[in-house]
Amino acid sequence: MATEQSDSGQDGRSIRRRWEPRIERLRRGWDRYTEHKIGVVGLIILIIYALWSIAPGVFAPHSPDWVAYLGEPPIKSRLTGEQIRSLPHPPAFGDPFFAPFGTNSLGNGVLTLVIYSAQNAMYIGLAAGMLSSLVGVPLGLISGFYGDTWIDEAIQRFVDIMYGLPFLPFLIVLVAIRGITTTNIIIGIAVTSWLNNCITVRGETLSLKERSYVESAKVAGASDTRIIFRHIMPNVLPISFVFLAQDAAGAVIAQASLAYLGLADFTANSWGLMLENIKSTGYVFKAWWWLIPPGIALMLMAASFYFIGFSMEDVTNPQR
Amino acid sequence: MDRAEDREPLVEIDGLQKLFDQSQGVVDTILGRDPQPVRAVDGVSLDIYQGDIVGIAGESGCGKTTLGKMLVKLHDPTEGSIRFDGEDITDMTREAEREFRKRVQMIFQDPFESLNPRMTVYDTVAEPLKINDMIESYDERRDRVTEVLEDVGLGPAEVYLDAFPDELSGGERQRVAIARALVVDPDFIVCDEPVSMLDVSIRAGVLNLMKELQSEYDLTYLFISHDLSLIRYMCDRAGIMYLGNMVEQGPTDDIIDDPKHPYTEALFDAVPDVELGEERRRANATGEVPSPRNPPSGCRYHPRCAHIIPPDDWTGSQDAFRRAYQFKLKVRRGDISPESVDSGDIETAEALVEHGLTLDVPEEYRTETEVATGGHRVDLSAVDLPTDTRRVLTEAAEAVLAGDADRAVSTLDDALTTSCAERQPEPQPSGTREVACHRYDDGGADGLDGSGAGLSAAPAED
Amino acid sequence: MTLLEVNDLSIRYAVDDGSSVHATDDVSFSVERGETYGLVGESGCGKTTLAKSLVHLLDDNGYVENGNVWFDGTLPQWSDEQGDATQSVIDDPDKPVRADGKTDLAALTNAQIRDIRWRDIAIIPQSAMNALNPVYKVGDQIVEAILRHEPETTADEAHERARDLLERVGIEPDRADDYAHQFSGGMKQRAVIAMAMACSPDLLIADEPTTALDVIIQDRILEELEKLQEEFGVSILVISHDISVMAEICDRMAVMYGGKVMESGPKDEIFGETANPYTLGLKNSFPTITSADQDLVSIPGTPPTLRDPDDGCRFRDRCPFAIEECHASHPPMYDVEAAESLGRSEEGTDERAHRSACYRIDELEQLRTDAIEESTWTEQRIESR
Repeated sequence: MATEQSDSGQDGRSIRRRWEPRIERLRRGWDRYTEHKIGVVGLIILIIYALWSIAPGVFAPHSPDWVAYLGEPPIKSRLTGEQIRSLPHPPAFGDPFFAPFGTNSLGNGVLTLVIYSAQNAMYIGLAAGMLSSLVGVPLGLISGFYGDTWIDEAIQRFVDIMYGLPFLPFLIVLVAIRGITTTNIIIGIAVTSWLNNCITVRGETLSLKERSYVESAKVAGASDTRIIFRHIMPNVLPISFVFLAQDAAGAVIAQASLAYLGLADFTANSWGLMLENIKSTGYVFKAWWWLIPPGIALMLMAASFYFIGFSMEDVTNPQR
Repeated sequence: MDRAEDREPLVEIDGLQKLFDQSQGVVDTILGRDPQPVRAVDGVSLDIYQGDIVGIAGESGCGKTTLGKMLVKLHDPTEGSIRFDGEDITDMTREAEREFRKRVQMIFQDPFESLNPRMTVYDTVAEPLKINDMIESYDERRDRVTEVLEDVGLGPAEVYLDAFPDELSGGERQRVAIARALVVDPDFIVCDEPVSMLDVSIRAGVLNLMKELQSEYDLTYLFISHDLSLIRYMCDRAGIMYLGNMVEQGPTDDIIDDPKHPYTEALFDAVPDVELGEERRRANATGEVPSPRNPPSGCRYHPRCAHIIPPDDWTGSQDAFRRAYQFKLKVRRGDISPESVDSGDIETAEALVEHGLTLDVPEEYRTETEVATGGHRVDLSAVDLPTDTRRVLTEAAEAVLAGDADRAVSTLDDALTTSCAERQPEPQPSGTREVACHRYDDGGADGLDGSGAGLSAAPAED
Repeated sequence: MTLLEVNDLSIRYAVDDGSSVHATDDVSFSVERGETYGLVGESGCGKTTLAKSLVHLLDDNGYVENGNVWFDGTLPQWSDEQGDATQSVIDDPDKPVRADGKTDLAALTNAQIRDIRWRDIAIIPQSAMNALNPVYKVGDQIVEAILRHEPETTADEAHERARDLLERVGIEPDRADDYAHQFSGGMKQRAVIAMAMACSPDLLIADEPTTALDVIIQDRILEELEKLQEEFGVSILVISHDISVMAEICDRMAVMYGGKVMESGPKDEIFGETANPYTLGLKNSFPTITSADQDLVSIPGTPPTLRDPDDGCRFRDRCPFAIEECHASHPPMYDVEAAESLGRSEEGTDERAHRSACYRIDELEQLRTDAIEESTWTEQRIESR
């Protein structure tokens, strides 16, 4: 019927009217993001890493199981004695089989390993960062919003206890019980990293809830949930972004440190594991081409998280 | 003539009290101190009638904002009741509270703080509608928001709907805040200093808008302000608060033209005026507002009051009693010490009395000697003190000189008493208004001599 | 005698994108010895910037574009025993001192202005409540100020003077040994005034001296300022947005808008024979406590942003009396009295007289009558929409 048609026409219009400002806001946000070169650089680095994680095979010259002179598995041939004597022994830089950045002591390509390890680092960084935000931010919000009540008291005392938890022994015990897997390491990192999140968000919430727009929402009859999620949370997002980025960077580095200590999933490729291998095979001062790429990859990933966090803080912060 | 006979009040406040911060610190607990809450509002009763603009005035810390926030249920009263349209708002069912939220709104002081910086004007104004499920369809809601924005002078509304608060000027922000309050079509709005953060040239526009909207939306306002000229401009009735108490309330013009409570009088005298030529009378009040954590006993205002009531058997002048009483307060606070006077004086005790009897008031209320010495000394012969009081004062001064402040205090405590410090005055009807002052108690005007001003306005029988 | 003479002072704030904010534009006024001069205006009109620039207290991005600030007094090293500038300094073309011994404060270096600040020109800052250092005794802070600026004083003398100053502003001298947090709001304000008076300056700049105070305390502080002026003969430059406070304490005043002085002259004439549309509008929008029935009318629109403003009158967008001429250039300050008898003539040069920046100065009677009508202000607003 005619009326129906006009109704649906109206619906279409109203949907457009409703979404237009939001799209416009996103566009403005993007403009603001790109104002900071550092944020763009961070984003580009992270996109490269993301592509590496999604399709490492496209970017890496070989598969991670490739061995210098012998090629891709399944390896059928063996080197002749003549070859062993004449060719450079792994680890070597720039060997004749084209492994950019050289090979490690097992003959695997260093660049290949660096690229294949990005997946693991991305996973750990994002998962640990998100996990600690998902725990820390809501708990901080609740703790701050119900400041000075038993709820706040309980959460804060729990945080205090967690602060007393020694990180390394805890992690060693955890993996000893549950096994050395990437997931367990993420859990181990997140268990300690949400604390700072929670405390900062709580402090911010305590000051935000005294703002008169929060009182104004109460007068309008808003429920606690609405006040927390509509009026307070959007205003703590800027610092949450910074913390998310920091936690992600911290997790990547923590995982590498743990791997260096031998606490890593040895079935997965990771930069930390590469570094551990250099140490355990005793090539730290001999094979710079093996040592430096995973270090730089690690550093760039941590830096890109920080850069993005910095820019996002600015985009989500209206007071400028 | 009496409003109460014609109509039921919209809001009835009875014996309202709000204490803050009753939790004790660790140190206090260890030392076994009693908790000392801030007595923000202490025993306020007030009726607000439909269609009135009621002003609440007072200095900072007098409890006016706390009172306003209790009326919109932002704070729960410690004691007392608030009835809105016959229903007690301190004890409501969830359903009744929802209904209440649609009928009562508040406009806040600082438009730079009262709008969420992350919400557009549309989101801000539409929020009360969404929360209260008042208009279902997005389009109708948008139309309603547009209508209200145009009502508050933000037209064409399309320009403003998607703007964020930081794109608006102070005046526009406050109009958005008003629109947000109006969008649910409320009956009663509490306005907490709605224009104090705005520039002078913009204020009048917002005030006039509020007046226009009052008739258009059939509103009742509670208008909180420290600015008495605004209260005069806006309000039909006014209440003056001091340290959590309502000291005087009644029709605004009556209160301003003929203030009865000594505090009201001082407050209005203190307001500077643009009128030329006339030499304004300054406020006759000593000292500053004491802490609401530990307010004075009896009438909260008595330590500063120009009309403090001497005891029945006082033979000197009222001014002399006020000075003697100030002497007592100074000794009690430890403001008077042997160093207060030059050691070269022959009769140190007498010099101390002369120093202690000075009043910390504007020059026009001082004696000649006080003016000449910059308020440091008063000539004893100019103060009409009874001889035995004079002896007591000298005794106390000697005790101070001997370093025995406790003895000085107890000597004075016994000799100088006033009903103002003993009993808290109840609000008494006096003509068109209620005044909480012992001078307007029945027979309370006895024994008032020499106080001059204000006496002619003695309690009217009703 | 003229103590301070500000000539065509323009102050700019540099903005990142290369434009500049014209905080004040060609502002001229003069303050006599012993008088109270008021700068009144709304927020953002440039009054505080102006006061800060006199003693080089601008923010880092602020600078004086042009203009002079002639002050009757000079640096200690340039003066003789009487405190006047020596002839050799006046003759020296490198030193900003002119023949009558006045020094151009705007031309002094930041190091030089420190000798003027506090000794000759003292400031009561906007947030006087926070101007006291919480970790020093109040008396010691005054002593420090005295010793810093008058090093020849002994410590005992300085202490004696500090107690004396506190007593003069109505604080028991014993309280000199207290800390700021033991003072009430009014006492802090008094202590700050005492501190400003420590070196008996010639000029006291009071920036919103009573804004943070309650009305009864404000009343006492205003009385205190009046008494100080009587006693010490100090000139006071008061900056405030509160017209009623200004009406009470000022002898002469300047009404500022958008970085320009719109009207200046004796207070009585500004209030009694208002000669500028902006001042007329302000008067309309200000409630008074004495009159029972009043209709307030606000000025439509909002104050201009001062980032690279155009040449026209700053007030024209909100002015119901604007004419073609107003769009071309900002009007000069016409002498009101001369305009009444002779019609619009040349720019008034006597800075003490009643002057107003309006092209329609010759139609004052009409403007005043129209300005009282509410419709004058509201209809214009509809037009501008």
